[in-house]
Amino acid sequence: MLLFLLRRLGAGVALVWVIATLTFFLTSLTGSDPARRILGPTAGLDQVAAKSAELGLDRPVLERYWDWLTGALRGDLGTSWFTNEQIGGLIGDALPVSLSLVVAATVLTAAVSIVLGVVAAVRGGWLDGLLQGISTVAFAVPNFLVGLVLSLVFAVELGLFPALGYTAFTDDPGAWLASITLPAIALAIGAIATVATQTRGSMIDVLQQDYVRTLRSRGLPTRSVLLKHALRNAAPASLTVLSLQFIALISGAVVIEKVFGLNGLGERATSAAGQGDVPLVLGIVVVAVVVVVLVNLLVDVVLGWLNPKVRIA
Amino acid sequence: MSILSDAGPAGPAPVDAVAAPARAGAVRRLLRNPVAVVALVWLVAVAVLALLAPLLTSQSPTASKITEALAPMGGDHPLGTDGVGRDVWAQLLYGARTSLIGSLIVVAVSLLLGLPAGVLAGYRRGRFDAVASWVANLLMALPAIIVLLVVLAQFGRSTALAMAVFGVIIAPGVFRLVRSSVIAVREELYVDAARVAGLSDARIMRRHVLPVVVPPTVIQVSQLLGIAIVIQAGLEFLGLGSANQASWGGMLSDAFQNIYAQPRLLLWPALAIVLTVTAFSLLGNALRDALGVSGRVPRVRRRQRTDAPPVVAAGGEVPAAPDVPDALLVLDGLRVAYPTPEGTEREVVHGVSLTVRRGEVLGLVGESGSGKSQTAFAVLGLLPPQARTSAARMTFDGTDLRGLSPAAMNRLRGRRIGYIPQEPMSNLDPSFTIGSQLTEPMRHHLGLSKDEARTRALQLLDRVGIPDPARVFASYPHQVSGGMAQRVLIAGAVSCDPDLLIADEPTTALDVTVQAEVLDLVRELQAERQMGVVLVTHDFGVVADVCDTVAVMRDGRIVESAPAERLFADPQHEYTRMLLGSTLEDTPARGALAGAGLHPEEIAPAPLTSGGPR
Amino acid sequence: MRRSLVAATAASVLLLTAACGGSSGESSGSGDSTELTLAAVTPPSSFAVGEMAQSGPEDHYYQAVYDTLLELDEDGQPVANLVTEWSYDETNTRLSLTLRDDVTFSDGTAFDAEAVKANLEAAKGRSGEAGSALGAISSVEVVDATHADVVLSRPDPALLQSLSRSSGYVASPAALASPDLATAPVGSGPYVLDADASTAGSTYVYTRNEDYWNAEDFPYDSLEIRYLDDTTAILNGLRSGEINGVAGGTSDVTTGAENAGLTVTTYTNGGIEGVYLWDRAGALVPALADVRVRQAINFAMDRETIVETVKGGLGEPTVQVFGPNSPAYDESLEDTYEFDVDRAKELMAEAGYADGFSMTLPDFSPVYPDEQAAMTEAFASLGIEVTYSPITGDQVVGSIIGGQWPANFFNLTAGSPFEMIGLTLTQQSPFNPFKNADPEVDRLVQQAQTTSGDEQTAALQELNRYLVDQAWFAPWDAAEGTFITTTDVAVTAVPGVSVPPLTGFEPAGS
Repeated sequence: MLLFLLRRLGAGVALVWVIATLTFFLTSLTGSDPARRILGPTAGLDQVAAKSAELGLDRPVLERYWDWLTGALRGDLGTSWFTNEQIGGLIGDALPVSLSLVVAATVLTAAVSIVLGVVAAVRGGWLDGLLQGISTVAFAVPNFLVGLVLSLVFAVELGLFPALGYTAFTDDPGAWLASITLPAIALAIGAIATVATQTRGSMIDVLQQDYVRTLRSRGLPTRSVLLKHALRNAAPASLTVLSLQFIALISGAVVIEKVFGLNGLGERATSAAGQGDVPLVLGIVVVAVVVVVLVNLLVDVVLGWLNPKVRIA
Repeated sequence: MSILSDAGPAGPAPVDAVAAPARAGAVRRLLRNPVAVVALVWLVAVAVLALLAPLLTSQSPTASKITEALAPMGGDHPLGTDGVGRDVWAQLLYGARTSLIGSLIVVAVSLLLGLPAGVLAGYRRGRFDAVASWVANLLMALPAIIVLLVVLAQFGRSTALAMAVFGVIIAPGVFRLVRSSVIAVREELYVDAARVAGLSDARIMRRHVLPVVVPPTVIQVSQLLGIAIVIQAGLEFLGLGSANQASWGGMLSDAFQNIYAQPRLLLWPALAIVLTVTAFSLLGNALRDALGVSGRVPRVRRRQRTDAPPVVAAGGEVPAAPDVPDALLVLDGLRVAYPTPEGTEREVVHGVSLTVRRGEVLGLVGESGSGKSQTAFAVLGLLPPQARTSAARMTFDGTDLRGLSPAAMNRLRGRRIGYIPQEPMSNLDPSFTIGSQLTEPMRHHLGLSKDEARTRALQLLDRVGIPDPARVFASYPHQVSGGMAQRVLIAGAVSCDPDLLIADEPTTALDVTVQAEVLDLVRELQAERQMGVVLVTHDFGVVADVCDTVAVMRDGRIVESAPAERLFADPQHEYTRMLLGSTLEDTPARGALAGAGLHPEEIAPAPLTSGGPR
Repeated sequence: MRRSLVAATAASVLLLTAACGGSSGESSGSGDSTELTLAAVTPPSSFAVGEMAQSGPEDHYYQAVYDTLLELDEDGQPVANLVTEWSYDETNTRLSLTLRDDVTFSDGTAFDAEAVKANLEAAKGRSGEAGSALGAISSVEVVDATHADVVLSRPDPALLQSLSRSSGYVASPAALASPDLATAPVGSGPYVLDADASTAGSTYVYTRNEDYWNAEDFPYDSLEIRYLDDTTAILNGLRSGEINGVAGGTSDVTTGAENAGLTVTTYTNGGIEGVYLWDRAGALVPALADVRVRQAINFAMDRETIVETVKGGLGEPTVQVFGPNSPAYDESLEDTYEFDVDRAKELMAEAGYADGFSMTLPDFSPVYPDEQAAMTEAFASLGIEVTYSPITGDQVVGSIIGGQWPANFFNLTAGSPFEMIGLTLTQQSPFNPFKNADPEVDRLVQQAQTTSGDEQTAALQELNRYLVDQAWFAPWDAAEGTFITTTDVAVTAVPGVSVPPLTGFEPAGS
């Protein structure tokens, strides 16, 4: 198991490196005149040239790549071209926002999907049909549409939640929760539809297994059969889907952050990509992929724990 | 949730499983599904509208008539105009083009990459598989939108480019699906046989591999089309779509700008997106059903319990259960029926009556499909939820089992009625240790502490002849042998000292050498604890070995019921004679049948029919 | 999910009722007049002197912490601020300044002539907009603590305007050399940046500078500026009272805000919007070299309607690139190109382009969808076929300056006629991408720059008339900016400045 994890970790590091390298060359070789963009329309050509030199853009691209890579390995992702802030700091400020949002949406997804999936699988009938129908539609509604409507109704009209902005958990846990509630719901709806459907399917599969009948023949309470045994056996499949959804949620957060004025990684990514702030774009890509790699590792650990065959091996 | 406790979807469904459908009929099956038809009609309509857009509106979707901004519905603008006076109807039509073309690009790119790579990786394996899988993992770790942001920032906004890139990002989904299908079919014997027979790879590919790959891919394509539309709308909302193109996402974005002035604008693009994506998903589901890729879950309905009006005994030759004073289990006129897809019911047990006394072993014998297992599960209350059971009488130790609450039934099951299943390996929960599966019922029913339950479980394991109880106690099911697992299940069945034991072909799945030992064990435990036993079997050897009385079942009826000795000595019913005859002819020797007056060498445990696991 | 679905259903119902019933929502602003929360559509690029943007949505970030040497009054004219008196010598190359003696920076350093010298010289060397506007300064001489002379290498009629804007920001001389100044400003302004409460690139929290010399112009005790770039999110924030104000941006937002019951303040912001015809030499599109074609394009623009519908009325229709409060402006020129498609077609036919022509323009529809649509419509009326080529945000300006487009919709903002001349009329001008040279234009520019008073005004107006006659550009309007606030905040704007200064904010009704 430990060896397995080490191998996965190694693969993860390689993954981060490959993606960072691809992004570096993609952004460095095709981008146009960032100095002009920074200095604005009125700057003269000599000023633009000076700025380019200041950013090191006059040096060979491989040299820049090497500098960036060695810097990144030391934990120094450089400085934003546009705001002069340290990339590490900018991402450090934005990461808690995005992680709060994505983790809250993931927790919400997991909780609601389990309940819905189990209920649909166990009760069946019209309830199952209804939940299936709702899932299908929920999957089809773009998350920003949900977000905008939620914001309009619950924040603007009813004033129950803030319409925009993020409050750090450390500042005020209550306000933190309020600030991510609507975005997390908007973000989670599509994921819930997917994961609930998966949970329903794997629950139905598990409930048809012989051992479930045997467990029931032992007179165990329904709660134990369903929630302890069946759910435990259905969990790996759901968890795998959930881990894929986590990546999708990071994507979805880009749009949702915009709708709710949350200055998270997604917001940073949109503006940095739009401006051509190469160091910031690189930093964000690296951090996003690192998060994904870590989450996948975590999922591997949990899957191993859930599946005794892997755990023992 | 209460349903499960009286019958979950766990019991064996006697209705013939829908045979793996031939693909030839897939289209017909699809068209018989009303949901699929509605979805298809919608999608075809959208496609036709998109295609014929220039004929359906004379307005340009992008030309704005600033003097006509936010015009109401009617006149030249059937759906009005948007904030810059663009015709909403024209935008919807041309937007459909953008959306459909975009999603086709996604599908084309992902198929182009994923399909050949998946086939090749699955078929050839080796280095190509390793590299392709690594690339797939790499792509799957990428948050799609961030990649799209970077690419579009570098190369300019373009819906087609964005969709192509998204196709690349999502290609691993196709790749993995195809690859695993190919690997599965490759492992199968007939491909090996085909290889041996000297067929060319191309032929194997065409004849054997593609048929397996196509159905799941078709389903996935249908879902991809929907996903692509949603993603595209998100990109257009972020302002990353092509500009001189009408698009549904762009319309949504524009509508939000005008939300206070003209909320109606939001409705059309939202409906278009939601309905189209929903239609794609529903079509995917319907395709799955039609292609029979994954079995549809049976409709689960609240089951009527055995409180139906008393039924007339079926046929004069079936003896009504006599009132026996020390009767433990009494069934009178038990019927089990299942709904058919046509809406009628099909009865599989037609009025079975039998009685089991304390300390008596009843053999319930019959060929597979004769209804013997259905009868046993009816007693345990473990039939699938859609089953309908009724009986004139159904009592256990004086308690009427009909209409018993789930909780009350749970107090009987495990505690007073034990159950030994047929297939040892599949009847242990793979995720929990054997110890925990043994102790959980004891702690629940007998209120034992963790340590007490453990001690007792170890004793039980020892009692059922397991050499190293502590090791097995701590093991997971996959770590023990089948014979060992069956002993564990027997230990579990008797762990709470039940009065009645229902054993459903407890030895069928075991090696011949182990069968006798396990049977002896059941007999010993029965004698030791004075349990009544219902032994479901198709094996007269087993009957002769352990049963006091025998009931022979055929087609859901008991055709003959007699004490074992009498039955073997003087079978009354023709069917019984036939069964006995075939047993005697075909089977190798086996001991311990002297009681039945037969030579041990002549009786064997081989099954009458090859009733495979359900 | 069930609960959220109920909520979503409720949401859609509420949405429709709310929308149909018009603006039912009242601003739930805190009502506490001592806090002001503004939204800005860009984060601050840099707090370093000389690096700051000339003017625009970023201004508020800087105005909060820095004082300018001069200030603009309600007519947009320079008035005293840190500088109390100023005068030019007769050659217009030496500017003498008299300074306040009661100002200290937040690090305790005193404001004096040395500080002015250090700041101007530091700013001049920087590459930002603020720095490049100081190009004419050759040195600063310290006379005494409260007097300094700015020595110019050439007359710069736009200098006083610049010193009233971001080129005039003054930071503590002790912090000038530090690279930290870019993110940790040390100024003498009305507020100080609370770094702990702020989040870089996202939320900037300012608290009152207790020792400030001019506190009565800043009624709010604290100020928060949030970077928000999604219009829907901004509108929602204003509606829910979480933010008090934002620059209006597009007319959609302004209309949305009006419909949402918010206060909209309008003012001339110094921008001239319209179609800028760069390729007057016909390098890319030969037709544009013909003055009749350029005039035809001008005749084809329905300026009144464009302003009314595209701009939502936010603009003063004009054919001139010098705005109504510019000395170069000449009211009588306005009827030169009355909207007349027939006349335009005649001119096209005379020029030999009766069937029009085609050209490729940059696609600005993501930012200016309505403007682009209006432009397309006008061109189409003359048979001019436009193909739009996609372009990313960071390529826009570079590609224009690089001469990639024959024309495009654009907005050039200038605080003075000389700034506009510098931007687009000379051969060194960045927005003269094809380096058009016209002896008459050069002569008039030269004349305006070397004269003063009425003579200068006359030269500017003559230049203006020449440009209009030659149809160098096809302007639409002198843009009006809007600032949207919640009902409890009142705003006073300065004409010609893109965003109202912080001094213009006060609680409504006070």
